[in-house]
This record gives sequence, structure tokens and C-alpha cells, in this order.
Amino acid sequence: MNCKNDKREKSYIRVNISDNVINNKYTQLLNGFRQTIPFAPSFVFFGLILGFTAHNGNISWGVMASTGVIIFAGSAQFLTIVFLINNQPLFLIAITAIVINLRHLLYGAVMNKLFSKRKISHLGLAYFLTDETFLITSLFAKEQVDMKQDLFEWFYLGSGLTLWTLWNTSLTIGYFLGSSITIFSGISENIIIAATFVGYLISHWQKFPEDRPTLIFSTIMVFILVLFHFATSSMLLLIMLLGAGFATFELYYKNRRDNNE
Amino acid sequence: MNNDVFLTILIIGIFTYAFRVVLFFKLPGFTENKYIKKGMESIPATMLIALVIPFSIIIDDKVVFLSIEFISIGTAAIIVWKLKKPNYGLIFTLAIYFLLSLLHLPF
Repeated sequence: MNCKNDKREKSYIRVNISDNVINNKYTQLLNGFRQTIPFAPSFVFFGLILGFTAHNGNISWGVMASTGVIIFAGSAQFLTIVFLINNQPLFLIAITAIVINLRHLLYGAVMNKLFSKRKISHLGLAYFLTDETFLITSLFAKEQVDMKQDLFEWFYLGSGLTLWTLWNTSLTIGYFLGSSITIFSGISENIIIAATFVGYLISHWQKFPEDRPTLIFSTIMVFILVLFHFATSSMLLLIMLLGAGFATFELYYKNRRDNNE
Repeated sequence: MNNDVFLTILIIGIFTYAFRVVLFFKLPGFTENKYIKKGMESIPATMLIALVIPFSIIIDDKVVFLSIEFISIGTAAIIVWKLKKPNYGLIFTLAIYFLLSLLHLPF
């Protein structure tokens, strides 16, 4: 493959140039790191804020750091820290955090399809299954349909390790230095999250027209849920379920229409 | 660290890991159905919607359509569309946000 004459439209997930490079597991490990970095601002910013919140609420660094390692899920950690600050009952903290993390069942189900050959190492890989790693890996999988599972696992591991390192580092930096970081003090963390992913949403719309009806439906559902004052954290799971339901119905309707013709 | 607090964190962590691993490792047979598969394939796309749209219009727990944040994200989305540079969404948004902030618009 001659990369100088390659006039293909650049994918939003960059493809390596030669097959030898693609087939190297360390290249895919590095690729996982590289593909995760553009998403870093959203979770690093969130981590800094969470660390700062924990410090301000007199939560010990040990408690905060242990949530990062043991739970390793941003919204559940945030809820845990905030509820601890407000002296909420421990059983309530546990139940609420566990319910918030139910969406990881969906992620595991999708990953099962991508990692169809069962391996014991998947027990370790599953630990890194966060929102961002799931999104990055599944978007990458959509582009790299012919990649061998072994290499794909290395990509996933690269992404997961990058996320874990940056997340836990930002928690600690936010904890000890949060009050010194003022450049983004006027910006809502919501805009950072939305801005990080808006480019990928646009790109997904352009590259996968078959997903457009589902995207339109999900957008309508978001506005409806907003009217009913749903919290953004609960919306994530609900929108995914509603969107999946719509996609299922769309396929069913198309098949039925084709059969009738 | 208080033992009860650590135990609570540990319980949350165990359940979180269990949610991640159980279907990762073993899916029930009904998920082979083509309709279920199609639904599962749509999840990354719907997740993008759930991450962008609500977080664009909900600022400080209030729904605000006419805000600097929403205009910045919308404008950045158009630029990303034209330039086909999805990695730069955050940079475009923040640049537009800071420019609009300097103008001291009434919202």
C-alpha cells in the first residue's frame, strides 16, 4: 500500500499504513493510547473537579483514590464522594452507585460480540470497561471490521490503561492542586463533555447513514426527557435502551416491508 | 480510612465489575437474534447522542437553549462538519466560547 498516493478520505479513526504495522500488537496498544487521547479532556477535567470536590469536602485522599481504583466509574465515584460529604447512609450510597452502573451490563453485552473468542484474559479486560473505553473501542471496531480479535484486544487494553492512568492521576492532581487551577473555573463541565464528543457524533452521522434514523429518534427522546426533568446521569442508560429499541423496531419494520413486497 | 466506608466502596466496586464482566464473558442465547444484535450495535451511536445533546442544553442543572455554551457547541459542530476534523471538536468549541465570552453577550 503506497501511503503517498493514498487519496482515501481520512477516517476519524486513523488507519495504520501497512499490514505489517497493523498486525503488530504493540502498535495496536499504542493505537489505543492515541485514539483515547482526544477524549482525555472530558474525563481529565471531570477528574480534576472530582478530586477538588473531595478535598473541599474533607474526604481523605485514601478514600478518593480507592474509589478511582476499586470502582473506576466516574459518575458512581462522583455520587459516592458527594454523598459521603453530605453524610448520607452508606447503604443508600451503595445502592445508588450500583444502580447508576447498571449500564455497564449493556457495554459488556456489546463487547461480547467484539471479543467472540472466550479467553481468561477477558476477566482482566472487563475491569477497564468504562463509558469512554467502550465508546472508543466500539467506534474503532466499526471501522476495522477485518481486524483480528487478538490485535483488537491490545487496542482495547491500550485505551483502558490510558484512561485508568489519566483518570487516577487527574483525581490526585485535582485533590492536591484543585484550588490552583482557575483557567476553566468559569466553564461548566457539561460543555467539556459535550464538546469532546460532538465531533465524533458529526463524523458518525456522515459515515454511517444507516444509523441516522436511530440518531434522530434518540435526539427527540432526549428533548422529551429533558422536558420531564430527567437528570443527565439517568438519561444515558435510558437513551441507549430507547435507541436500541428503535433500531430493533426499524429492522423489524424493514424486514416485514421487504417480505410483503 | 473508616472500615465501613471502605467496605461500601468495595461492594460498589464488586458489583460494578460484575456488571462489566458477566455479559462480557457470557451472553444469553437470545442475544443471537438478529433484532437484538441490531439493537446492541446501535448503542455506541445512541451513547454519542446521550453525551452531546443533554450536556449541551443543560447548564448548571437548568435547560438553556440560548447560551454561550450551546452556541459554541453548535458552531463547532458546523465547523467539524465542513472540515471533517472530529478530533478538534473540543478545541473549536473552547475557542468559540472564549471569543463569545469576550463579547459580553447578554446570555
